[in-house]
Amino acid sequence: MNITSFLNNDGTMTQNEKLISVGTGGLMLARALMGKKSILQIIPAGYMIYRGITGRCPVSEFINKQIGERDLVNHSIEVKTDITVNKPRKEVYAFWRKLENLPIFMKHIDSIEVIDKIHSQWTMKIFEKFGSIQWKAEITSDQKNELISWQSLPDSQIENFGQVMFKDAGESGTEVNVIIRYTAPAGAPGEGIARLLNPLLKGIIREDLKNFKSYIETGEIPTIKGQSNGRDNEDQ
Amino acid sequence: MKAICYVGKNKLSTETVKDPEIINPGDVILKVMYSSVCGSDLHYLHGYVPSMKEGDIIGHEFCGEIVEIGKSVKNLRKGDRVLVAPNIGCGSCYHCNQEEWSLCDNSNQNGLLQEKMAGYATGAFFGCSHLFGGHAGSHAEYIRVPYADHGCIKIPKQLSYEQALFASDAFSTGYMSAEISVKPGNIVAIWGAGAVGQMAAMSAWLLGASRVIVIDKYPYRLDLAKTHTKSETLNYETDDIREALKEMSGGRGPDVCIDAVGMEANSTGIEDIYDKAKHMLFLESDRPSALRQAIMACRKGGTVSIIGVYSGLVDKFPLGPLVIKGLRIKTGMVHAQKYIPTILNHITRKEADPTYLKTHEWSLGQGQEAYKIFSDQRNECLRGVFKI
Repeated sequence: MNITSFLNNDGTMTQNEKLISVGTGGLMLARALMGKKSILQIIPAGYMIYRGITGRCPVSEFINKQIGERDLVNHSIEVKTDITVNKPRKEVYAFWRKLENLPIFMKHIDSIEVIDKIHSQWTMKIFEKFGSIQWKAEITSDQKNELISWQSLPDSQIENFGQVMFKDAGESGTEVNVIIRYTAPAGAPGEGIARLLNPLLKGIIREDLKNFKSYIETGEIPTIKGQSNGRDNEDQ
Repeated sequence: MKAICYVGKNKLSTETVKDPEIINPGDVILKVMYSSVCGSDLHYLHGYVPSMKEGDIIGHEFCGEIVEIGKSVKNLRKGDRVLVAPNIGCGSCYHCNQEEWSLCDNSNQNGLLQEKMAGYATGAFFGCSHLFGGHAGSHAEYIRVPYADHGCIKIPKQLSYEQALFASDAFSTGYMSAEISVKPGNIVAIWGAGAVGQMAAMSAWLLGASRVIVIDKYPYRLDLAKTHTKSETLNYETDDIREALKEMSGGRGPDVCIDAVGMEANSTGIEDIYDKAKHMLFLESDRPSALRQAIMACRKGGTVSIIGVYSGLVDKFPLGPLVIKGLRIKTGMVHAQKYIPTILNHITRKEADPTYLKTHEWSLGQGQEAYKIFSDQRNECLRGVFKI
């Protein structure tokens, strides 16, 4: 059984997951009723049974709504985000155009090696537990101080598209609008991975953009990693 | 080093932790000389502000000597005696450039977490929960200060650490509450005679107020306000506040009403019971009784300045009176970097002296006991200071 067999194309549950949900809920309920009869155990048990019977998971629905998940056909993950940077447009464009700069603030990209004027080699580390993924990309559009877009070359392990636009924002500096899209390899596992990673990646890219703003404005990325605290064996 | 750490609701512990190190190039390490308690610490300790973690070092009003410097720090040297702003501002973003330092875009590394609660993230603070960045606080022998060129302000040679200390937070917060609201000739009423309320009164005079009235229920605090800020006082347990203020302002109401109390306000009668019951059950996150009274007491077209700390939602908020009287609301967390130099000038010129705020002095080993005294207002405690 692969992970995608839990979900139908419309995002509702399959028969397999319904059965597992009812079964798990039943076990949790039995355990709660035989034990302290705590309401804190009964409620989750009831919830599992409810989702199994109805085939709907209100929690997932709520989360998806909150994060603005955008499921595209063909197993893609697309993240759009905007940030305003207190620097002139020319400077922001120039920083972004130097692709080697991107891993400074992009946590999900391990490195970008520039091959020539339009080609570059990207290594992604979000999948490092499964081994890193590499692909070659080319700049598909470069409008000075206005727009840069790039696209992975055909036959890459993972298809990748990105576009960043720069607009003047008056005394606030420069508006940066970013679209990043990953298309996982075709097939059911790819779809499952896309579903799992979409919210994760959205959060990571938004944080990357925030780090970009901090870096270009201040020359550093704020962190408390490594600071003093009264916790054992933890650095934050 | 020794540091006072939060270990749970109403529980602190003095622990031995590793010394801080330079992490980013704009950091300095400060040897802390004095670090003060603050009323806002109590909100965290009392469990009303989320995202404190066991082991967090608390404290945010402090001064000391620089002992280590990051490679991009330009304006500071080892050995400098500095006062530090409690809020952390990068000095480069739009808001820092506008002198809205506590709204800094960059200092709060947990900004995305705070966006979920407030829509947009504010800047970070020392020792004030992970929503505000999770930066280690100042009740410790040493502290790392990020963006130090902007957060550390040199103490003039004429002033001792003790003379300067309260310009960090209590005075700068009180000053801001008046600076954003008071015009020369105004009658100013201030709810709360804690350290911030006292400094708001002192600042209202500095900014040209014609009459300053401080409201509280603790006689010792009101006496301190009367003696040191030359203000008139009212006790809300024995005086009818709205009637008294009306009488003291020729029947029109104070021009400016400052709420220097915040989310754990006390009141009297059924209102007090109602708010405390809802607060205890977490049906409202903040008790706004001082703010309600400030809005009701304020003159038509007047200004309500909210400087007390609020964390979330309030109940029974008199929005109608606020609107129909055309009141202006001015508020914010302290932009200390903007106000500290002005305040140090006032202190140097002997136009203001905040040293009376310190009623107690403790060592770092007395953290739990110290906050119990401060929280319970025992032994006429106004502000206690850890001497490191």
